[in-house]
Amino acid sequence: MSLPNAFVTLLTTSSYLPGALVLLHSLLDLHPEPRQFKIVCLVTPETVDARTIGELRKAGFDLVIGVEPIASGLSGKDGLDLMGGSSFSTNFQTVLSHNAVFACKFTSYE
Amino acid sequence: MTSRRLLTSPGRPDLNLALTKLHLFRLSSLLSTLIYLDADVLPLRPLSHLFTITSPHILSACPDTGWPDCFNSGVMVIRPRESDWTGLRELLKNGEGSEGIYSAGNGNGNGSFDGADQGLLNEWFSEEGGGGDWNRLSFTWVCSYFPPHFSAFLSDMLTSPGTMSPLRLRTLTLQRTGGMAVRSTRFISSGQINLGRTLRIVPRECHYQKAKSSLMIVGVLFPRWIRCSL
Repeated sequence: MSLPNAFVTLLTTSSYLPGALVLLHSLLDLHPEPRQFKIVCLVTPETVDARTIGELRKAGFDLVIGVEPIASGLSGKDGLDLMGGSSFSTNFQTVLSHNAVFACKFTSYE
Repeated sequence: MTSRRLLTSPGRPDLNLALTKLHLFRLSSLLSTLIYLDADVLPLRPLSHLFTITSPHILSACPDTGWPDCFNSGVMVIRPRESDWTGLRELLKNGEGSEGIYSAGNGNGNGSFDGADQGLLNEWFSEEGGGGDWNRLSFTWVCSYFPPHFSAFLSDMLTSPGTMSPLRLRTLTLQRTGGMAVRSTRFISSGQINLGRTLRIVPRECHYQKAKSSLMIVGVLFPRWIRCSL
């Protein structure tokens, strides 16, 4: 089975939630069913509060994925070292359903 | 459009978020093709045909209005590859010289030449970069110029302020502009959307603090309406 296509957005601060919600609803509105793609939101739990993440899940994204912030500058370099080269585990292929699933984040670092 | 203040979280000023977008390049085991849209982008037309018409290009995007040789990273069609994630990571770490052109320098700085992901991505997805040259999408997909009659639309809205949900905002924008692309607006997320810096619309049930961003409207632009409004 080939991999799906998806629209993807990213939320790194709660203040952008209205934009993400408008984006989601716009995509749903512009592309009537049956849709041949998923709509995914990446979010940084370190900088986005739990209430906002809850609203993302309720809003109707096919998948909500928690990710680590990636910084630029010297602090970014350290973070990238710890993150290593792994891409997402293939486990994620099984969670692409209409239920928004909050997936685990990558290796944590300080 | 990106200010340094936007690159950190209001609650965590120490936490630089500038390159979090790079996670898109780790999705190769999950997705075949993805269309990335910044959270402050408002689609006006269906975009799903971009999944197929961009094949087989790895990265497709529109020229940046400020520096058209570079692409704008707010809207990108990506076929994720592990090698791009690895390469971008290395580029960030190594840069140029011991500090690297993407490094902090004084500890407060940002990486990429524009302070965020766009510089790094343009470096990688170029003829000389490891990702190969980026595929140029027609500029009509991303607009940042005012059609003349949208100014009139804004004036109309000014005379009838009031609360408006994000969905209603989108509906009105579509109706008034006929789907034509409009200029980037200011989205003030303290519960307000400010169109053209003069209009205030309060999204219902949204109460957030502080940070601003620009709401970029993506749509189809009719060439006769293009004019520069700087």
